[in-house]
Amino acid sequence: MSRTKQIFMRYILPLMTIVLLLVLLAVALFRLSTIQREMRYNSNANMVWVVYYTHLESLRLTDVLQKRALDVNADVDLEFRYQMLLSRLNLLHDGPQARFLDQVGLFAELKLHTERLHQIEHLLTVDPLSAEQLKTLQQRLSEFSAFMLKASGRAMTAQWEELGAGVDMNRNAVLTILFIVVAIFLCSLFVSIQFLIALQRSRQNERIKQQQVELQKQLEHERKISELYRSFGAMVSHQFRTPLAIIDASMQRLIRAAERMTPAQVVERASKVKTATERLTHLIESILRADRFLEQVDIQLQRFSLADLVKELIDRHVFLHPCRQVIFTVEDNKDLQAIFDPVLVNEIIVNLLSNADKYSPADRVITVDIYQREQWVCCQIKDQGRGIADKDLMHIFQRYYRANSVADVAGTGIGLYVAAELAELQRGQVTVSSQENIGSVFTLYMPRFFSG
Amino acid sequence: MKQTQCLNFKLIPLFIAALLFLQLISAQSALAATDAARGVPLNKPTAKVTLRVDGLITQTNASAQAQFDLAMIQALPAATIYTSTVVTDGIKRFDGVLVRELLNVLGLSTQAQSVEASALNDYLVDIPLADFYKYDVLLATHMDGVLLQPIDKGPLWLVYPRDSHRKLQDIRYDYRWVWQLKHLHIH
Repeated sequence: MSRTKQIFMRYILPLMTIVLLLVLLAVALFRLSTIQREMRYNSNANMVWVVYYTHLESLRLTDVLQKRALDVNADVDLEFRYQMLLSRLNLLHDGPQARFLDQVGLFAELKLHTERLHQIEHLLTVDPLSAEQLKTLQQRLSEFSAFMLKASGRAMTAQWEELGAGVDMNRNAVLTILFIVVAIFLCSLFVSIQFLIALQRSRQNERIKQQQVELQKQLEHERKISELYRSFGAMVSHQFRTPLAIIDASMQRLIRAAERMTPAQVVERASKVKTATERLTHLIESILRADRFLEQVDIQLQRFSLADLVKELIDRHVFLHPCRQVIFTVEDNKDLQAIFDPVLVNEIIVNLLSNADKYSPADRVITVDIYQREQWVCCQIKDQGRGIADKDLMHIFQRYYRANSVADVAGTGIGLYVAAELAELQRGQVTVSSQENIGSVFTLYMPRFFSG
Repeated sequence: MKQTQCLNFKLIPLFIAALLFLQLISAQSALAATDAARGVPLNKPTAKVTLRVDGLITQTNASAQAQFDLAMIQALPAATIYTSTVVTDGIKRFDGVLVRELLNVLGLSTQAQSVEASALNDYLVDIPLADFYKYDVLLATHMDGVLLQPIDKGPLWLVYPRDSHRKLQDIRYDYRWVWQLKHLHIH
């Protein structure tokens, strides 16, 4: 699907459908209101009624004339009945009625009849009426009656036509509304389906986005591993090269000048090779040991006095390195209890102490302080050695990472990595701050023990 | 602001109570008027009788009937309505008296429900009494300032204020416009 078509299907078409929906609703409402208005009126209904009463008055006048003709003394009010007829005629001449009669082509005839009925007015007062006069009166009234019959026929026809037209109109309107409602239903269905599709599409997009994030993570992981290998390679090439070079040089010397050498010289060379080999073995051992250690670590957290543990380790360190001066202080001489695994903290502290020893001149003091900060019990180990460059500081806890400045000192770049990992396993952490040529400060934070 | 609103809400029941009270007062004054009417006997018509009323009424001036000449009708409080009708063109001015004013004078019995109105041509129609209290229905004597004649819908025409109430613009009210009115029977 091309992009234009996609936009049309996804946005323009549903929008147009909604507009159509609104238009259909408006039309339906308009039609309904028209029906509602039309229902109130039926103008021709009145006409049948008016014609009927006019006709009736003419018949009643005929009736009283008949009575008078039969009995001169009959108690009838001829004039009153005539007045009544005139009043109906007047009504027929009023606006709406006159218009209707004009419409059905009877108004001219009405005028003629009205005139002729006015002409007989003088006869009503004649007493007694002659046979001729009576006949004239009856003739006029009978003609008028015939005219009224015709008018009532027309009025009724018009009324029924109007009713029929009204029913037709209403039926058509209702039918239209039915169609509109069906159309509205279909439009709503279409919009709903579009909505569902859009919803599904957005979910799919969400899934794709998640997959992308997942992939990004994997990529990051791969990148880290490859970084790890590179660091490992760099470390191996640095650390293994020197002993191998020693071994190589010693062996070449032995091959080339073995006959000229005194046994003592051979032993000296062989010893050098042995030392180098031992160093290599030690390196490999320490790498493997770290992996084994982290893989098989079994944490047993317990309440313990950090100061006691550190004191013991410093004593051991001083015993092994009697030349080094280590100053140990405990904040307010308190018994600061923390939650940790003594075996693991032992590993961390030994590592930090040996680093301080390794990277600072033997005559410089190492200070170890135990103190409490917020929820932590801390052990700070401070040396006055070469320090760490800023660019190396952020990588110092990475596995196999070794700063360029310490290439002369044997090391695998594993110790600090292990220390940091172990601290984290015990819900603590190791931090570092350092200044080149002034010294480094490593601090171990362990969760403080809260009684109760 | 909030307090004012609160006060306004509190005022609503008070307002309703006041309205009810006013209605009670007006109802009482209407009763009082009826009572006054009861106290004052109807005069006898001195000219030609235009309208006869009988049925559930307490005030009469002939045998079980109240008879009115035009002057007696015109002596009641005058009222005017401008409205269109179904049988004429344009808006017409009608002068006369409100039907309920006439009914007040007659001292209706409490059982009275409707009026059977009949015309000179013996047209007969039943009208609920409530119409006259709900709407300002006029007993018209004049149309456009001209006295209605028997030859033209007179002498009296029941005129509904058709243009002021949408409900009255209905065929079911059209038949209640009795012209050439001559007789009212309250029942």
